[in-house]
Amino acid sequence: MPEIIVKDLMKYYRQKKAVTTDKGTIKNAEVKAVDGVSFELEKGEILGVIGESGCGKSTLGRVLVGLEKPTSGEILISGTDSQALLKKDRKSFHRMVQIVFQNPFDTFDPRHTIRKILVDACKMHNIGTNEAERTEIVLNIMREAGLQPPEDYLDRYSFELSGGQLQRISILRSMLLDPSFLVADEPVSMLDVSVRADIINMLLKLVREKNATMVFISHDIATTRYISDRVAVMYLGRIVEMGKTDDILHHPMHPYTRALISNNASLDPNEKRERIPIPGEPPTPIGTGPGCYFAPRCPFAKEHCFKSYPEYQTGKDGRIVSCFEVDAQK
Amino acid sequence: MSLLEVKDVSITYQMPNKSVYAVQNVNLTLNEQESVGIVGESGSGKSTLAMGILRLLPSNAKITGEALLHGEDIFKMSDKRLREVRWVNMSVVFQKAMNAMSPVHKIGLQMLDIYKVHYPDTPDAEIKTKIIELFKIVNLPPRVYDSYPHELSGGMMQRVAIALSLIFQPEMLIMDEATTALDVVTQSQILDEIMDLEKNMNIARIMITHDVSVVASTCKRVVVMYAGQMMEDGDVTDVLVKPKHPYTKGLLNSFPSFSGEKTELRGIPGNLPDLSILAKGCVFADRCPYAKEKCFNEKPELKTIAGNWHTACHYPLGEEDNA
Repeated sequence: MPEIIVKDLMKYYRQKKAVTTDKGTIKNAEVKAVDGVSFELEKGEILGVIGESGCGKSTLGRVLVGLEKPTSGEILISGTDSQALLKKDRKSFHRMVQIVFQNPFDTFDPRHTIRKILVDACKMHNIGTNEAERTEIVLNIMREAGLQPPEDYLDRYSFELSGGQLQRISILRSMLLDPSFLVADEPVSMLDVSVRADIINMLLKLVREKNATMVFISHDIATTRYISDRVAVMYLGRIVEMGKTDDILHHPMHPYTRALISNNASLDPNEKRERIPIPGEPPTPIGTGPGCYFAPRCPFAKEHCFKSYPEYQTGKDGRIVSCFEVDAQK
Repeated sequence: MSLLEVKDVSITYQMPNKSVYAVQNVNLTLNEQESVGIVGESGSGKSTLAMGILRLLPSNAKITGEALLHGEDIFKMSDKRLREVRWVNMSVVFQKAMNAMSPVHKIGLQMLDIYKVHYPDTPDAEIKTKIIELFKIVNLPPRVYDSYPHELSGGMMQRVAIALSLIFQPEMLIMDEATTALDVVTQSQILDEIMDLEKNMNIARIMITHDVSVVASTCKRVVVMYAGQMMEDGDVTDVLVKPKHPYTKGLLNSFPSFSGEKTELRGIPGNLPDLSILAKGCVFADRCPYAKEKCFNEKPELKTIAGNWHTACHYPLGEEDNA
């Protein structure tokens, strides 16, 4: 049985003010940030979620770890319904499910030292019996993570560390509790390139060691390729294509995936990639449908694309793709 | 004559108890209609250099050297002359276009104001027509003229900032991380627009970014900076394909590749050195996997490899035999 099962997950935000769109003014409009997302993950699998800003990938992450309540849908972690567990025993839920945020400087209370940040997490979850033992545990994991010598860091405040160092602490704190499910929301996008690689490798090592399942959210396609086993491409709250990383990234089928990847600049100045232009920017997901959400910007859209939302087709390589204009069997 | 010649420029921030050597001995030539990318990580001095050329640095920054714009030293210009040159000869697009404008005034009005600084006698209607034409060039609808900054998305604001920088058809455009905050799709749209504009309007461009792929796809030449110093410069097809400097190589290796085999991702171990202490040898030696004794004791000069390709390394990569 899969470790993580997400079934038709939705998160809508109701607007208090009336919203004006090109279809007229809507009162009590709903922003459909996550609009029916389903996927399954095996134990130890890493799923990359890519898409532009506003596609709902961060909201998805927040719903998965219980920071937002889903409007509807189910999340089963090791067979347990996460909403029921959250209600019953919040602490044991957070021991199972953790998140790493984009900006480590916003993650921690600036008035807490690294010692407090890490030791308190142990204390809260009854790891170690006394202060000395907990400090020892914390020192050990810091040493393993390449923060040498760890004693130097313990009594510093978060703002006294560099972004890379603090992101290591953030990952350590999340992995301290041996979670079986980790969501990493753009964990390296604000770090310098030369430290990014080390942080990604550290994250990967920890996740593999503990055999945790991870959802890696990013807009950086190359990093996602490096880290994930499978990739899901999101557009306006829905997964438009999902499958094995290299199948999706090297042979994208959905027009949006194709455009997204063709717009990804290459490091090689001699490589000339044919860019598929998509006009405009993703709209706010208010009053979407009934047709394919991408149709208004899609270069291949036909009349029927505006009438109903395409069902998922399953391809030969196991991918799913929702588009009328592609034949997944080809 | 070159459009811009930066000669031996050093910029030092004077702090109450120390000096921070943010930029040291940088040389750079920009010809007309040429595009140069300056890449480096945070703290490499790339933005300080650009702000120095624009004379936008705080008063505690001490600048030495020369920056010649058509042979005239920018650092020696009077305030009046500087005002004439800014926007008309050289203009800038900042990273956070959202913060570049006043939030309580309409965009059109703010652009009109800037126009009037240079040509106070132009009638408003004429300027408005011109601004709306500019909007068309950067793919913005005319309604932007009467919008407030918060009504636009990040990509649209960045386009406004670009339109603003083009208002007097400058010869030189400095883009300081101008597309960094944008999504890939919007970024490549804007980069394409800029490259078209360059061809049509004869603009030379300095592109400051930490994203090597942006430089690879939009610039002709590249300067790689580290800790305030030039590590390597030359054509992108040389520097980014067969880097000679270990730092350039390390930087390129830090990016995961999109195609080909998944190789292990390797970063550069260590941290940026303290810029208030002048290194005796090469600034990169501490983090360099190839560093030898000489690297710690002697500062490497920029050496020519071929044509306009230079590197500041005692032991350039691929030349181990003759080292």
